[in-house]
Amino acid sequence: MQAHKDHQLILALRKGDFSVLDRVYAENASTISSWITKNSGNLSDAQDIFQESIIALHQKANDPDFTLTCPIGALLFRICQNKWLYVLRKKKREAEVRLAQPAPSEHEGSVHDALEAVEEESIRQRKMKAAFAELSELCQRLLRLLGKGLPAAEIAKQLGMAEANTVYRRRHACGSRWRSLYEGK
Amino acid sequence: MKEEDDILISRYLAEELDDKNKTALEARLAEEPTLATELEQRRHELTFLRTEASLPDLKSRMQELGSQHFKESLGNTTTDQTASPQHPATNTAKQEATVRRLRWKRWAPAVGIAAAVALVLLIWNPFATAAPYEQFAQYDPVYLTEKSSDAAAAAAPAEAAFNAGHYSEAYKQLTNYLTQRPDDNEARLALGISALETNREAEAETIFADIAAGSSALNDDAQFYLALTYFKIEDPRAKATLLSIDKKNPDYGVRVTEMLQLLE
Repeated sequence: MQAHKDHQLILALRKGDFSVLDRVYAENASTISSWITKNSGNLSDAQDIFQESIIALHQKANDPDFTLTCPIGALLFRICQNKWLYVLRKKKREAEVRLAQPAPSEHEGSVHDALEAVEEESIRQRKMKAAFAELSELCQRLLRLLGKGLPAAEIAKQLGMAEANTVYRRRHACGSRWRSLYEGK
Repeated sequence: MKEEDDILISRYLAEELDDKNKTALEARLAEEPTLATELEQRRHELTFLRTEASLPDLKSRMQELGSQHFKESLGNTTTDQTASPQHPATNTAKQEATVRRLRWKRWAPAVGIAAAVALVLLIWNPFATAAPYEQFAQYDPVYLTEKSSDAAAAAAPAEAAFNAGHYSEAYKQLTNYLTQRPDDNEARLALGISALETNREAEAETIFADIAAGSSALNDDAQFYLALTYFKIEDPRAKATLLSIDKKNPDYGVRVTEMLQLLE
């Protein structure tokens, strides 16, 4: 599937260049606010939902295999809608939602696929996060440093380990523990 | 998963394998579904770790943009809301949007004085933005309870108070915890943050400076919080301390850049 031109925003988020969010907010905040305030929410709700959606998008943006094939605004709107509907369901107020769906566009299929990918990533990361908190301090530090892309030799130095191979052996132990925890959640 | 295969994948992901070993592994990945699944799972884990590493900077940026754009869009949504009178939010918004006529001639001298005072403060105070310190004061949770069973009783309330943002209580509990585990740098860092948040800036400075000067994995964190302490109390050392932090630091780079811009 061919990348949409907005994929450049995903690449920027992946690199940690959050200056692109200026544009994302400028182009989408008012639309989301309008939809949520029309559907039993207020501006504060809209801001919370929008932020949660950006975080979800950022989670998926960090997956190097992810390619955005639809406009980022269309995807954000769907993520926000789903999150707000979830809030209303929890409050048993779904009947109040007027289902102000956007008109189907040529990107409808791509938006649906991207939405599924984002939600799947969110669920996976939620489990990983809960399990990560149960690891020892050393395991957490070691995995964080590896996640930052630091060379094993540098990590060995920072953690007072003898050599790079020790880092990888320790990672094996920490990683196995982590996985057994998050797969059990 | 055998340890040697796990290490091989680690080296592959870190791009440390030479061409020969890389080709050999890729051939195995094509033939061994279990190994390929393992690599995919490791990539998911890296995605999570990368996300967590950049989350504080992302939140900092969103906080800034959120207050700006959601405030700005109030006018637009107020207009839209007039079409849905059944929603409580509509009434509130309409009330907020009520226009009152001001007697400008009567208030003009006071407004003039207030504007002049505001202008002087703006020029004089380099920290003059909306809540400049709070927007950068975002902290990761601490995890103390896993570390040692002998200090578990003290770790739990300290961890709970800190992670809930109850810094007065966290300060008390962390002080107690550190009497049992004085070398726990993560707890010391959290104590420094709790001190900073409860207006014990001198103590926070001492703690952060001490950790930053040491050789733990938390040096960068301590250096940033030391800069944040100076930033909060408007100490001129804020700039030099910020400049000592790499702007490409994935945890603090964005905040360092933005804080330096405010100090310019």
